[in-house]
Amino acid sequence: MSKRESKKTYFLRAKMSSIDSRLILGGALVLLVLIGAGIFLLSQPGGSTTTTPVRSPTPTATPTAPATTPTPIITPTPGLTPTPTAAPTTPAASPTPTVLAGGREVKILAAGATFLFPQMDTWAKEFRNKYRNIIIEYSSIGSGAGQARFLEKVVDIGATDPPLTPANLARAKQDPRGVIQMPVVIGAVTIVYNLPMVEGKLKLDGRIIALIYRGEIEKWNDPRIAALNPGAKLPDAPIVAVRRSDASGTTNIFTMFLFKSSEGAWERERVGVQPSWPIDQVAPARARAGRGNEGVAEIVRNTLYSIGYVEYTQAQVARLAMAQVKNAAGRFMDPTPETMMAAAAGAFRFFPANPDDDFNSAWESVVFAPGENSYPITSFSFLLFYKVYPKDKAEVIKEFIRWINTEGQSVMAPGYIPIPEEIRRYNLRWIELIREG
Amino acid sequence: MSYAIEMENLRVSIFEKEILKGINLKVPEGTITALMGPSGSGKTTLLRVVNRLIDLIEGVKVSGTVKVFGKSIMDMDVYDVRRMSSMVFQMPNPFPHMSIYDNVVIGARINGVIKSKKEMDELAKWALEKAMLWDEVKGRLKDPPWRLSGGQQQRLCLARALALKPRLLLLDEPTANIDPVNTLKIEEALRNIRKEEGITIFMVTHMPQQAIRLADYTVMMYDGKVVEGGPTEEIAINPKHEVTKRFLRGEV
Amino acid sequence: MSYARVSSHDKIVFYSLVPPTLFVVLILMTLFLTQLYHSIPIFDVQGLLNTYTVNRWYPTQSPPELWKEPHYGLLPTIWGTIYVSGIAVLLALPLSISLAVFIEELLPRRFRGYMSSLVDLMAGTPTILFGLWGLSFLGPLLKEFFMEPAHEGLGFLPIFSCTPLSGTSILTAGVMLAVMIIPFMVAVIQESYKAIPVTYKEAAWSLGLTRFEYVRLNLSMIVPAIVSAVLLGLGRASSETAAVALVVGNIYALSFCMFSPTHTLTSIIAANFGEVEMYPYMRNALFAGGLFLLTFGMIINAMGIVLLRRIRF
Repeated sequence: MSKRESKKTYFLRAKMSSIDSRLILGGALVLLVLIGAGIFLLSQPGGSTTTTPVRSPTPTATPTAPATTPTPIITPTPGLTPTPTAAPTTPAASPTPTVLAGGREVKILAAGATFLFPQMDTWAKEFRNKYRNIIIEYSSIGSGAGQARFLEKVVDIGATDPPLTPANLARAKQDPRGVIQMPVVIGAVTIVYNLPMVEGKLKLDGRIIALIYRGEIEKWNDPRIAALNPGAKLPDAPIVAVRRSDASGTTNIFTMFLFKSSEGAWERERVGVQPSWPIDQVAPARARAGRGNEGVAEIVRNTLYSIGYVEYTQAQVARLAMAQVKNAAGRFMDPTPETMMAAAAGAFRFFPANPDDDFNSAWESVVFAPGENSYPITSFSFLLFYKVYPKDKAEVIKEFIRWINTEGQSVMAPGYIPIPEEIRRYNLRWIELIREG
Repeated sequence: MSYAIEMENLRVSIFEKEILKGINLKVPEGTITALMGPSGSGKTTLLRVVNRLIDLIEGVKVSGTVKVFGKSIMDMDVYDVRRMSSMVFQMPNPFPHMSIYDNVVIGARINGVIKSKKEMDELAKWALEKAMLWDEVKGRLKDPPWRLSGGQQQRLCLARALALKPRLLLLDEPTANIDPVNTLKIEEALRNIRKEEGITIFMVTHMPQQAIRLADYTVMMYDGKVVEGGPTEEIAINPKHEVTKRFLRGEV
Repeated sequence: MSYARVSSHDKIVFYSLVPPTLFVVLILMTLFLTQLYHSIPIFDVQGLLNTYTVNRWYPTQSPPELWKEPHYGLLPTIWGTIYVSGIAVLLALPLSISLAVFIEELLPRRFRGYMSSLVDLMAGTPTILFGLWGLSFLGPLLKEFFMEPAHEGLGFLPIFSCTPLSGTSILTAGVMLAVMIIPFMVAVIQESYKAIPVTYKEAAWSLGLTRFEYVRLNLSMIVPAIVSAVLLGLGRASSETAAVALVVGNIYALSFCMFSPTHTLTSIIAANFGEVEMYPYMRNALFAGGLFLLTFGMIINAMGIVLLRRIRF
């Protein structure tokens, strides 16, 4: 009853109409949120690996075959004479079957490294286009789990970024079904950074990166960085070192690179999928960690003066500046398909004689591999096969191995690098090891 | 004679339903005036107009003039209107999270009129004495109010209302939920308050006997209208209106 | 009707409700026992107390016989959890009370439904969206407009002492969590506020209180609900995982400065569980973290629920 209040009129709204309008408003709100979220996610380059098609290396181009590898097999250790269990002469020439497993539907279960997922997905689709009755299912569960599931024999194909650990390999070899380790794609780790004031590409070497990730090089204008980058406008700002928070094959390769290239600045015991980081004790405020390659890329993008390491594919998708990294020959290399294939080819001479031998030294040797044109932070990802499969599956697996090492190498997922010719030939030789049983 | 409450053509409707249909009423100052009538006749609504608690009801429209102690309350700040009177409700409603003492002095404390602890204690004692509760609670003023019986709680509410030192006390069927012994105590307290403090009491009651025992004047309401009003004896002995007769016989 | 029939009917109802109740209780017990069972190996190897009080996280593949000191200490993550959710609750509490009172007291009745729907919608939003928002919007914003000025002006305070270098930090996680728990805290406070019987509200108004005094009186009536909202908010904030992992920086470090990164119990579990098979005993250490979180969460939530029950009008 003050004048103001007494003028108030109230409406007894019909119940239905009020419910209707609430529904409409609620719906509109939900829609708004969904649209907003959609726009947001689409604007995130990390949101999906297929948003921006990445220039994939022209698969038809013959990989640069270094002159150092005239024969496919080179004995890695002089004391051990390689005795190939089977010596097929020209496995690639075997006739391509047109129908597999008599047309019966066969489902192949594969599981392991997240890095391999887009590539395996592409291969599974292409393979199905060729053989309508073959389904290959890939679960992206991580390398460690991929090795574990393979040893438990609950999958048909395992997938892992690092090769089987010595302990796992010993277990696999004891099993009557045996194991074949097969490098199928090349992965590379790029050093990304957020320094908009620096024109051109930053040049870094393993020692400097190691010292940054130790927390010992604190600022961008440190003389050690400046020495490699004469003329670059390096800011007087603290370096934020970004890394993976989750255990990751990417971290494994990166820390392996630091160990091999830093002349003692990075210890062997700090190499791993989830190592301990010295910067946490020295200067935690200058460290950050993100989940997955996307998480690291996102933090680097949002954090001025940061440095990080991400898979080559992800760095391209996120359009982050990538550093040139000094290789074993002392040259600063851009991460490109060519330099990565050169590194892979350079490591081939360290391959073991048999596919169930320890691949770890070969895998380590592709990191910081020799060769003028090698990109130094390169590695392989492996598929794990058994030697013995049930009848139909054996036939399918054999054809799958043949196919991924021939035609399959020309259907790479965006950003993935095919393996060089000599490694394909090496892989093809093991088809004959696979038996029915 | 001056009037505590004057109403002229007061109409109240809630969501277009008319509750009070043109009330004309004057309550003389310093008296106890009872408002009687069957359920749904609009007594409680009428009472809530006086301190504008009616503003809280959604969809309410009020027209006409209402004056309290000569001031038209429609034009006043609502908080000032409410401070002119205080109210006791049908259900005992002391604040459950406060002690007995705090319940009594809450009004004074919030208004900030009284500052010193001593004055506050005196106020609490005075109000509780007036409400005839002091002897029962003096040893346990820090107790929570729900330790008291329903009748004691209602007297606590009366004390809370009195502690505001109002000129007008509004009571909404204060004894409807109270046992006979407590009812008589409250009635005695009200008589004393009127006599000793000169506070005008305007109370809604459902019980004709209570009006006869207590009130100087009685107003009879039916269906949103005042049907009859005057000195209580007149109405009790010689009701003019049919509704009043039936109400006194306990038929409505 | 005879008493016998009623009671036998009651018995049927009673016995039919026993299995599902037992089932839920059993699930809860297995949840707890699973955490405990998998935690025990790490307690055996490095000691229970060490697991929760040591500031050192050093994943290792070497067997525990060779360990010179504990490798998996959870202290910084426990501190991180408390710090981050403490900030969240401190920020969310005044906002939640204001919002609840605003909806109940000031908003015209016909808008209340919409506002409550909006709050519910916030509660139902997938938490990862808050994480992305925190990472890409809130973090950079806070860094530019709060962290840097605060560090320059108030850098002598330990909580502002470190240079803000990135949007991901303890503070960002706290602010993001505050936004995330507000809907839950508002719901608890608003429900209790709404439940204050109208007779008390009338009594308050009849005393001539101003709206502010009236609100204050009402709030003092529901103090247990406000405390329980704090506890429930704390429980939620400390258990949030995905969104926190995106913005908290994920660095194993014990820091009092708000601009530093840290790990929370949930973020360290989320970060490490994927490849846990590479490191023996790390898995058990993470379970020990889970055990702590579960116990902490249960105590906090139980306290909140008990307090909420104490409100009686």
